[in-house]
Amino acid sequence: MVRQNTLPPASPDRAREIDLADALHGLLVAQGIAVSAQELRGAVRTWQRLAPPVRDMQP
Amino acid sequence: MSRAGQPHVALPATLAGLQAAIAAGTLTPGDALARQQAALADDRWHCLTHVFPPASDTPGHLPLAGIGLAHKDIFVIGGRQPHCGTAQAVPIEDPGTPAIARLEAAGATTLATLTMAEFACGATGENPNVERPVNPLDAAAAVGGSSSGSAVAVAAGLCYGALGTDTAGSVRIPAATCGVFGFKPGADVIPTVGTHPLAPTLDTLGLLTRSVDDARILFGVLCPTHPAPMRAVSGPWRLRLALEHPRIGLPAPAITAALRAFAHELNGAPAPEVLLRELPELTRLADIILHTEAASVHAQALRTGAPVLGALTRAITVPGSTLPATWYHHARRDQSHWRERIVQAWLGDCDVLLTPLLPDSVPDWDAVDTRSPTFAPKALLGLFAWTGFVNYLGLPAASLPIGTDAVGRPISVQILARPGHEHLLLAFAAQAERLRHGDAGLVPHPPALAASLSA
Repeated sequence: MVRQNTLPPASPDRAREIDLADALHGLLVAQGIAVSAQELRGAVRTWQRLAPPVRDMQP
Repeated sequence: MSRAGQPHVALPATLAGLQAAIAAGTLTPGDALARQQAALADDRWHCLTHVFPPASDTPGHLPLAGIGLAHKDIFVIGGRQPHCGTAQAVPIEDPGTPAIARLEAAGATTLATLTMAEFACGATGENPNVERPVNPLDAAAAVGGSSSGSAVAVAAGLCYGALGTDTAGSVRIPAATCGVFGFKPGADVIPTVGTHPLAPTLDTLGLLTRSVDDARILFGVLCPTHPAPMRAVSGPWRLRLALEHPRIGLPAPAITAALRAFAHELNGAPAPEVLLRELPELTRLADIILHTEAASVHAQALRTGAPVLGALTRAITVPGSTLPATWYHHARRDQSHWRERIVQAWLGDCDVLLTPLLPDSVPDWDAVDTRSPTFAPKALLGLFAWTGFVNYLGLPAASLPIGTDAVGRPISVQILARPGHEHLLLAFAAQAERLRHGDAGLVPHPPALAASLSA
């Protein structure tokens, strides 16, 4: 039921290589979702907060 | 005076007390229900969203005859579609909610539906579509969410118990702000059929009541075949206490002192204290699932703008539309491994693990309302710092008031147990309640019940 998006797998290195806000905005537009600048900033913060740590902690 | 000309007997504060009064013949189910229904006319707490017409008589011999319940407006009830904190009915394909049908089959009467955060998105009752719910304990104090109306109605005495949903704390947080008992069984213990989803793999139905025994009675009706605990449940208890949050540190001094004293009292000695090192990582994984699944549930609304989603719903679903699918799949893939590992590490040699429910005192409404000029994001974040990881692990959990702070607002402990140990958790909580509150329940004088005397 969960849609597959097209953003490449995350890593902090990858996040630095691209302008994250631009990438997320493009991803949202591609899905037909219009967002405000404030919502986009929120999405960037959430994306950064939830990005896996450099050394992924495995169970 | 009653219709028979006899002076009114006060409605007991607890469901167990009302059951006993009906069994003893001092109250009839019909009289008890009539007064509960009359009390709904004075909703000064803004917690009701729909009041059902009085039901036809239920057989007096049923265990919950005369007991009025009300539920979060997220369930299909008697053919009525929920509104989920919006202005319109939200269609759900399920014809009904089995959990509510079980309560009604045992004689309970569903009185009303209760306000909530829009689509269950939020740790408070903030919702632009409805009036802000009022905390019956203290009008300036916040009402947690998203099952805000469930906590308010129970604390006010407008019903003897309420169902809510808990995806990341939405039963436990409102219970803690309103000083009532909030119980979230483990994953999939109560079926979620008939419930509008937030994040389906984390969503859990839970109960809010004015005493632990009330929750035990309702849970027994909801899950009559749930396995009893493997060991005696009268104690002595083997406890662990986790006070320090790896990210935000120790709770406020009053909460730290209250939890240490509580654990000492139940443990018979200072309880061993542990640091839950894995908590931030578990919270991250829980949040990935929450955001991603909520975005999927509301994908059409995000694309089409219909229905219009409020700011708090969009704050969860818009970011969820951007998270890489691999994050979600890894979080789901590792879930059972984490549960196995954490249960062994945290609960392997104890009955229950105690944590703070809130790291600070119950905040003022204006500190956690995002529309307020004095909104304090840290206060809002603190509301759910200790709750979301529990749903990722699928553990049974409860929020129990154990005291009050300097301004009289409740201090609550979070109680966690192993999967399947719901009865053990409830037995512990019941003993703790009796030690701290006696037999009067957690809210001895609910204001709406006092008003019902003259109904």
